[in-house]
Amino acid sequence: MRLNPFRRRAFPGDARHWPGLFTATAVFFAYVYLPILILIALSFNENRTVTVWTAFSLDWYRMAFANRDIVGAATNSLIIASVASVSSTTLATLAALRMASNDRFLGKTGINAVFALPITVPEIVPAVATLMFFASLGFTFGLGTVIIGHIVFCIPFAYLPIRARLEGMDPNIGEAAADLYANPVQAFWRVTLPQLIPGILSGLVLAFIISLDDFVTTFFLGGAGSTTLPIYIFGLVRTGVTPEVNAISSLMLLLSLSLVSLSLFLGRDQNRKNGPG
Amino acid sequence: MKTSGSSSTRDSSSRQDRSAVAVKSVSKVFGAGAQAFRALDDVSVDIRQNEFFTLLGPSGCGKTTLLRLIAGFEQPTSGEVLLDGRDFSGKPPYQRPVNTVFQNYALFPHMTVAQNISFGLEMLGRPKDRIKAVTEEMLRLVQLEAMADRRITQISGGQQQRVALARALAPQPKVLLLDEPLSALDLQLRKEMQLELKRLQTDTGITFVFVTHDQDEALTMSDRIAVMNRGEILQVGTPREIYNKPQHRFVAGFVGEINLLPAETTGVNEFSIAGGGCLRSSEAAHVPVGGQAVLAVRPECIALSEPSDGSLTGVITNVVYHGTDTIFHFKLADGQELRARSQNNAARVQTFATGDQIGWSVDPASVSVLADDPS
Repeated sequence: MRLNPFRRRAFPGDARHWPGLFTATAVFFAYVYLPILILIALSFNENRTVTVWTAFSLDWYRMAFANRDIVGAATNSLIIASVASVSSTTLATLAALRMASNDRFLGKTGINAVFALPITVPEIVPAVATLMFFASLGFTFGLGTVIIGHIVFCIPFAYLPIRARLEGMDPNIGEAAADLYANPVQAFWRVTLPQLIPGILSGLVLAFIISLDDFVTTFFLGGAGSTTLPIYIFGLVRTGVTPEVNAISSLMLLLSLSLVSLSLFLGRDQNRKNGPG
Repeated sequence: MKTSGSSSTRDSSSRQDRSAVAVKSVSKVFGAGAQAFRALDDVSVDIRQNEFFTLLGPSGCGKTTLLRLIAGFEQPTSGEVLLDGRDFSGKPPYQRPVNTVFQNYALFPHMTVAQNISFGLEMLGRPKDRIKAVTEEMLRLVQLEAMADRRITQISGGQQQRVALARALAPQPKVLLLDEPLSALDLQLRKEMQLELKRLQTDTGITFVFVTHDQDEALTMSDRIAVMNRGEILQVGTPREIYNKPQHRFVAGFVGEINLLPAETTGVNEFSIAGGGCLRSSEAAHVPVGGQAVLAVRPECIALSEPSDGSLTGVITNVVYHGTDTIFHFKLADGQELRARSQNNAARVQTFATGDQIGWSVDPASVSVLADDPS
């Protein structure tokens, strides 16, 4: 505070000096993260009754991995998330490359706005609409319909980081590649794509997590044999929360955190390398 | 004057005489309708083999557009660009034997210094050992051997500049295009790089086409300069011709400081100036006797003295000391202000003060006659 001699006394609007700021912040973080910490702790509880702690044990994890239904649901989740994230990221990359070119075409601004729309539309709306659409086409509900639904709502999440990356790129670099005898195909593979990779990876991870976590779309578009982990956990909780649920939830949290950390790590690493020299 | 008047009138089949770049009546219009902007207007110029050629002009004069047309990033609206005698109209940049040094360098940030330099050779499909040898040679040429495996962001701005140069020179282009490559460097580094660029051009024998708005840079490095304004080439000549014999009012004013004196032609090379008195030029006037002309005189060509009979006279209005020289501002009888530059030499210091009556004279060889057009 005293480091800067030119700093005047705090003015009333300065957020740093609002009364009760520290308390409110502490309450906020406790409210958000304490239940999660308790859930993780209880997943290591030996006692069958969820709320009473007796001793440390890995029994619930062992039971979860032995449960064929859980393993099946986890497998479904991973299949859906993998296919949906890879497909949506591929489509989003192509879209971002086209939208980033500096020519104008009819409806470009409109298309740009519509890309982000699925993020703001309540998920239930497209889920129900897609359900009715697939039903009228006579589709059999299952993994296939869930994957199609997931690809659609994952596209904007994959698109945004890729687009941001493209906008941060030096527009002269494509010209420099062409000037150095790279034809458009070579310029794409050797110059554009390598620089886009961090954006693509962020998009991929984001889409994967969003898909892994999804309940509404999966619930509406799923069928026999397409139960995912969120759907399975929902079913379990209806008959009472068991420590087994805590164990599965903790594992999902671990997976999500690892993926986000990975994408942050990759993004930051590239930023450092590409920062102003 | 729109053409260079180069030596291409001789036997054009001889390789020495063939121009490296021939721009023939090129126009470039951006946009259409009411928003159309004519960036280049019927420009023709011949750039010779092994020449350091500079396009000089203020921003928006069309110099960068002309460079981009040669590189192939833009296509001319009309006219054609010949490279080494061959028509490359409609060919994309990757099929043209020219390389560009970009204003912001446009280096590939995901590659090392050496990978950047070898990129063009790889794209040309040169054998591996040849690529390696040339890359090493280029690193040596720009004195960056120690930096070969560094990332682009781990080197300084001046070093990035050298990498951009080496990358563009490595494929040994017929013509190297440089788009204000020194503008991002500080003054000291820029002075060094000016000399270095000239050395590289002499050593490699590659034709350099250099774009700048900095007249000092143009005068220092160029074999020939084309001064551009509003999409036209006004004059092409050696730095000495451009500086000493400007043929156009804009050229006179843009390159260096100059005094412009309205005058009436009284003889083949005699002029009566509005402020009273007579000036001679060694140039014959291209203005008929009795016609209006503008005389251009560099401040350093005006000699001041004590007033004497028959000499031109004036009154000192301001004296500005610049270290290496002193600028004397003085006024003629009709109120026109002129400037005279006098080198500060300990052995011969001119000491005039504000308000002093002075006499002044100019060697006829230092007087240029410009047509009295308002542009």
